[in-house]
Amino acid sequence: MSVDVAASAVKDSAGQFAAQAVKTASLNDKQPPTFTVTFFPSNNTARVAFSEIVSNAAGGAVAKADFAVTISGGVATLADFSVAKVRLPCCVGPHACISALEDQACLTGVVVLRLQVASTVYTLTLSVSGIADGSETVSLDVASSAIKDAAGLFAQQNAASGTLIEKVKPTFSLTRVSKTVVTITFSEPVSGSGAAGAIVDADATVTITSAPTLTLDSFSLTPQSSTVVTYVSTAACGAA
Amino acid sequence: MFVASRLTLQLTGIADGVGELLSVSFGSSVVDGAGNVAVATAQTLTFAGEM
Repeated sequence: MSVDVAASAVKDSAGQFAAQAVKTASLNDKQPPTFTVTFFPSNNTARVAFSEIVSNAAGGAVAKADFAVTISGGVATLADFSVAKVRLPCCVGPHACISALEDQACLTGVVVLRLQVASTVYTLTLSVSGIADGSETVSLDVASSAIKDAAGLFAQQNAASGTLIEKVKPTFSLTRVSKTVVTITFSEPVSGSGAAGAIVDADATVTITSAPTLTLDSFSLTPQSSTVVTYVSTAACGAA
Repeated sequence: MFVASRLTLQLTGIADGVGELLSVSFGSSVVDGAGNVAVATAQTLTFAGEM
C-alpha cells in the first residue's frame, strides 16, 4: 500500500505545504491457509497440500493430532495414521535435483545452489485394517483451530472425502459339466490378456495331475457370458 | 473392456474321465475391474466317473 499527500494540499500554521513523499507498507495477511487433499489408489496414502507454509497451533510442526481422518462403511477400518512432511528436492536447476533436504539450504561444498523452499505438502499414511470392498468412505479434514499460517490465521475445516479402492482378489471355482467340459465361475467379472481384455488360453494353466497314463492334449477357454463394461484404471494416479 | 465371469473349459485327451485330477490356475493377467489379480491358488476337480 502506498500513501502520499496531494501536491500543495497539506500545510502547517505558517502556510508551508508538506513535501510529497510516498510512504509504503505491506498489508497484513488476512487470508487463512487453504488445503487440497488427494487420495491415492493404494488406499493407504493421502496427500494434503496447503496454500502456504503452516504450523500447528503452538507454532511447531504439524502432526497427527492436527488432522481428523475417518473411514466409514464397507469392511475395512482405519487402525491408525501418521503424518510426514513431504521433502522437496534440492535442485541445482529446474531439472537437476540432487538430494532431499527439508527446509534447509541446498549446499554443495560451500556453494549455495538455491535456498530450499519450505514444503507445504504433507503425506498421511493410513493403516487400514481389513480388505476394502470399495464401499468405504474415507474422510480427511484438519482439526479445529489446529493448523495456522505465519500470520496466525487458522485453516478452516473443510472435509475432503474419497472412496477406498476395492482390494478383494477374484476367486474362482470349477464345476464339471460333462466328461470333458468344466465351467469356471469367478466371484466377479474379470479380464485377461486377450483382445479387449478377453480371457484367453494363455491366461490359464490347466493340467491333469493324478493319472500318469492319461494326458491332457489341449484345452480351450470360452466365455459363457460376457458384457462390455468400462472402468477407470487405477494405475496412473501416482506412485504412492 | 471385455469382461467375463464364467468360462467354459473344453478338454481333450482324457481317456475315460474317471479319476483324473484337473488343476486350473490363472496368471497375473487375470484381473478384476479394480486391477486386483485373481487368486493364484490352483483349483482342482477330481473326475469321479462318466457323465
